[in-house]
Amino acid sequence: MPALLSVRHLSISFHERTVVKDISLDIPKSGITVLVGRSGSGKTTFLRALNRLNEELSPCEVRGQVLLHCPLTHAYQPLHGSEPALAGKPIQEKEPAHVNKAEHAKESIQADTATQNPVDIYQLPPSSLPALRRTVGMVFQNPNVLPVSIKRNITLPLALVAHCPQGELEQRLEQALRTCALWAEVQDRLHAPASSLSGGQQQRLCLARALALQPRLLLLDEPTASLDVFATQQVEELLRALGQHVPMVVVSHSLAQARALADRIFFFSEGSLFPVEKDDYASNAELAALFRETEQQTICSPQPAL
Amino acid sequence: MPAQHTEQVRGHTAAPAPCSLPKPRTLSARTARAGWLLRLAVFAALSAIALLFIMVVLFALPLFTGTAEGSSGVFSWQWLPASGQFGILPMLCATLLLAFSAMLLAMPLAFGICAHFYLGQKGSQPSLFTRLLRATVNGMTAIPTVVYGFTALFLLTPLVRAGLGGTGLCWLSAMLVLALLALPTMVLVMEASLRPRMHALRPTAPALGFSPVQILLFLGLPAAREGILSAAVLGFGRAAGDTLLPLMLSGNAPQLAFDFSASLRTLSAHMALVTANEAGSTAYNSLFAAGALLLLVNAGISLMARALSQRASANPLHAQPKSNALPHDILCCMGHWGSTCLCRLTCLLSWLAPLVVLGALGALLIFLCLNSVDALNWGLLFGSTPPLQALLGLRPVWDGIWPACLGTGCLVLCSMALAMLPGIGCGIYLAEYATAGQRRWIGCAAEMLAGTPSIVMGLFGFLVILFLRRTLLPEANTCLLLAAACLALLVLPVLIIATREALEACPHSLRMASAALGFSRQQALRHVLLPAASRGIASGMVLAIGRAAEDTAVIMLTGVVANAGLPAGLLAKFEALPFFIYYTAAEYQTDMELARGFGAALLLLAVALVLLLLASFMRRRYSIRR
Ligand SMILES: Nc1ncnc2c1ncn2[C@@H]1O[C@H](COP(=O)(O)OP(=O)(O)O)[C@@H](O)[C@H]1O
Ligand SMILES: [Mg+2]
Repeated sequence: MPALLSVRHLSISFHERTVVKDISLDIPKSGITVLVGRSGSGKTTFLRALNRLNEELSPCEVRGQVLLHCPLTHAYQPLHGSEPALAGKPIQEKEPAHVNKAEHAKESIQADTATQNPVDIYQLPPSSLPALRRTVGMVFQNPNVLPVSIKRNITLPLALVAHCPQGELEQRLEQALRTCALWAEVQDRLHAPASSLSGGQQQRLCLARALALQPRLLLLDEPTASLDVFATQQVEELLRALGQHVPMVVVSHSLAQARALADRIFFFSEGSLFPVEKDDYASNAELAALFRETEQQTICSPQPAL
Repeated sequence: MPAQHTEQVRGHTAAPAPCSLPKPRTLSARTARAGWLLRLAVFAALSAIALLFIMVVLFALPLFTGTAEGSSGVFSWQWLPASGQFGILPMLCATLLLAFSAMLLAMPLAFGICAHFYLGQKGSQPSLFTRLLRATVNGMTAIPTVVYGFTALFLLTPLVRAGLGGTGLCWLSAMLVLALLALPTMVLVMEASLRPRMHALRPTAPALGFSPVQILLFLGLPAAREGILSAAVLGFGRAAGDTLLPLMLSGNAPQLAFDFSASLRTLSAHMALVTANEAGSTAYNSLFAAGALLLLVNAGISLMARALSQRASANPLHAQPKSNALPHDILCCMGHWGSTCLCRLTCLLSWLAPLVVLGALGALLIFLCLNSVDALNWGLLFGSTPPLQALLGLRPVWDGIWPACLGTGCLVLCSMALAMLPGIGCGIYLAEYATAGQRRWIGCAAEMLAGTPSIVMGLFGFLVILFLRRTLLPEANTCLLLAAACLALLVLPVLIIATREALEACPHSLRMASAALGFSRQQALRHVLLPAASRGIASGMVLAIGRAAEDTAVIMLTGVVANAGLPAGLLAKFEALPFFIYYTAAEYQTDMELARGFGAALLLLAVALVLLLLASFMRRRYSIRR
């Protein structure tokens, strides 16, 4: 399968301490890639390296390349048919009259050339970073909604980052919320503060917010770590369904979850990466131990009372 | 067998031979460039600060190098303008003496109050008294100095006169009230440094059988020694920089004082007196020298406090007290009996200090209220003019404080308009764009400005006018605009620090979320971070308004007068409430005028407290929300 993103000899250090060590990996154009590993093994750092978020945190030192085989989405992009519309009825494709034709054409040219020449995201100038992050979206471990209303959480980035025309915002809002099975729950309180939602709802809102920007690749960092059992199930189902449409890289600390979601699994240990055959957990002693731990956890965890 | 397999897997990923590795790139998001408006704001703020220092130093330099005429006289021990002797060394001594004694007095009081916060509570809930004490200490930061001065002048000085004889305007009176003035700063600094350390000791130390007093004295105090020291340093700075209290309470005789009943004159009071009396004479030389000395003293103090706080932050919470730490030594050599005594003493102090402070404050407040009761009516504001006509400006107000209130209002409005952009912009720049080096020195400049006595800001305005008169505009004169500009300089650090802290308090996840959504830095700032920090910034603005409204020393040098009527324009002289209070204290003729002075003081106090409440309410709402 053609790669969407190729990582070549990537190493990342903070303050002279190497956290990610010489990783090479191809992420294909579809399917879900899951990274498992103990906490502190560098999964989050690696994930953040794929859209250059590490440098927002603190100065970091990077070696190697991350090649992106698709064009960066700079300008306004109309809704297209392939957009997942799972929960609601598919919304018919409709191009607003005022789409900038020239810009559209320019972008398709860019796309052609870009497939030949992948861009190293670490060579991008700072001014291209917003476009990179729009192309490679991310959802964090803790649902971090912006301190504004539910609606603004989705429309604000749409308007500012995706340059979405005012008239289209409502439509996109509804579509994103339906995609994440949230529309029915928040439909009548769109203007309530986003922090008034439950944890699971907030996480789905974050997912909807990321999807609304039509990323080419979606990064999810332990998306269910801070959720309870029910919310975890809901989000997992959602991810499985979305995985058909948007390629994803998911970090998980649970092998059960990884098995349920993944098309490919990679195991992270002390900053290095090992591929794992899907049913072959016993091959690696550490992996086997982790596997036993998580299995035990799921057995011991209290069953939800119905 | 599994090990072999692992090797194989490892081999699989590491297979492609590492090509010639490019040099590692160090990446940081702080390289973004600020917009022109922000850079303009930083430029304005920094150039204002630089101008202040340059002006004061430029005017004083000829005196220090001895090139100005009559300069030899400035650094001598005699102040006799009539016979051409302009020595200011007695004033320098008086400033240091007064500030040091006030600090010495305030130190045990501040420590006692801090100790009360830890020792005074029985359960886990602070008692009503403790909460009252806390609220009082916070409230004391907002009490205008002119209100302290005015009330103490009529309550304290008669008592001192009865006790020590003389006029009652002496070292002792000024020292007592200055101690009260410096106290809240010292308590807050001390408490901020003690609290995390006491917290870190919480589970272990009681488990070892230490009593709370022992924990505080022998573990908490040595660990927080930098905080205690910077409390002392900042208290000294606050006392040395104040103008109004020495001016109103210490008698102002330019002499060396050796006992508490002697009158003395500080540098700050000297500056106020010289500008008020000696228009255009050679006495001005001493004014420049006094300003430069005061600036020097307080700049030194700011730098010292900064160094101390840096050492404190480098000092981890669990650090062992160094073996040469003082209390530790004392503990070793005084043995069991001595340490028991020390503990008893601390317990006593932890009740005595709060009672003394609350008593003194209560007495001042009750005295103020009792005396202003007669004046609290519409007549206080408008005199004999009908309120409606006065409000509409149809008829002038002769014997009310309405023009002064309006003058203060205009002054505050203008100064906020001037300070807003540079202050908030500079705060934003510091929090979001500045490199480590810039943060250090812009932060240092802001702290120096925060430590600069307000009379020096006033002097700056005065020097600007002198400069303009000698060069471009021979008929330039002090005015509302000038006073507002100097006040803007005074509140600038408040705005800078509040904005910076509010932005830095924004949770990190908010920045990450905005970056991950593809917001540019400007967009994240404008649409996410600034709205999230708005309450903190607003509360800083309210504090700044309070600070601008109560300050007297600045406007005394920049154009306030006792009777100008309603403010007539930016280039006109004006009246102001704090100056009205000061003026009444000095020049009142009848009991009615005195009562009006008390009424005005109560009004100013009420305004200051309401503003403080508003600010802390905003801050609380803001910290709940995040
Ligand atoms: N911004 C940073 N600055 C310094 N150290 C960091 C930073 N981010 C991560 N680290 C370090 O990198 C290591 C891996 O962290 P992380 O990637 O969060 O692991 P994981 O997600 O697998 O739990 C940790 O030891 C952490 O301390
Ligand atoms: Mg992690």
